[in-house]
Amino acid sequence: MFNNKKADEPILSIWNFVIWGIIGLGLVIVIINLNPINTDIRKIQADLLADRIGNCITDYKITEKFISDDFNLFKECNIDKKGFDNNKFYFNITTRKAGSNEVLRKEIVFGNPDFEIMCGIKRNADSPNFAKCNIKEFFGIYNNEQIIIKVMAGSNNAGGGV
Amino acid sequence: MKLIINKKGEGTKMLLVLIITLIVNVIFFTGMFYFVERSGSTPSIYEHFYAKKLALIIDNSNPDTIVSLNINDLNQFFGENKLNINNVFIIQNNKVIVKLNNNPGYSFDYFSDYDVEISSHKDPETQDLFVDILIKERKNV
Repeated sequence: MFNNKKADEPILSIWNFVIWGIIGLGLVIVIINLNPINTDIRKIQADLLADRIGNCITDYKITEKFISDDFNLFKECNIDKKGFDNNKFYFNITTRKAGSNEVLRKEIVFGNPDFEIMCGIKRNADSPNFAKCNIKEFFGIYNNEQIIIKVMAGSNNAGGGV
Repeated sequence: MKLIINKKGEGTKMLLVLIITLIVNVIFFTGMFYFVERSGSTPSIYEHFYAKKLALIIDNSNPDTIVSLNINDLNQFFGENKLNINNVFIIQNNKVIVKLNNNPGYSFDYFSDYDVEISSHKDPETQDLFVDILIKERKNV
């Protein structure tokens, strides 16, 4: 039965190519996923925006102007309005007296309000298309009383080709 | 003797199998290493990196600030594409645009309302190339 049977190793078998294909595909997938092109800095930009607004408003020279309704935040804090019209940025500012819920100024909201929803639900269901937000509280002085300014800033700025 | 004569053919065949397998493996892994090396140094990676970096620098700065950024790793593009640094970094309509070849480049928005000027200089001691970002308060027109 085993006469004239010769075990022979093929020079190149199909399995060699299958294994190389798997290795190559795995390498390509890893490189594409770790590619620094996809670095997401929206959270950092949201953080910077919150800091810019908070530090600007709590400057003692500006706080009093801020509490009065006649206050141009974009001009005083060197922020460009265009990015908010393009749905790339968002902020929401609430002001109250420290130690109480007394509201000192009506809420200031600028940009797409959907950012609040996206940032709120991403705890359970995140998506790369959701905006990234940051919430910070700043302390200021108004009429010799401490106030708390809560800033929620968001960025959905992904950049792109020209 | 008879045994050795019979084994000779099989030994040659085994050697041939080994050599061919080695050659094909070397070709395959050389190709993979080349792909890995190329994918880490394409112009688009640097365009993304520097556009985002400059936008963050502008947003993190106060007016009347100058920031100098070492861009020595872009020297490889200045030589082969004969680029002028003034055409590489462009500030336009609150966007940082970085162009390293004949493609349109990559742009990234920043939220600050500043006048931004870009220039460059070479360190006289180290010969490193730097891009200078001058940030000024926007003049009301």
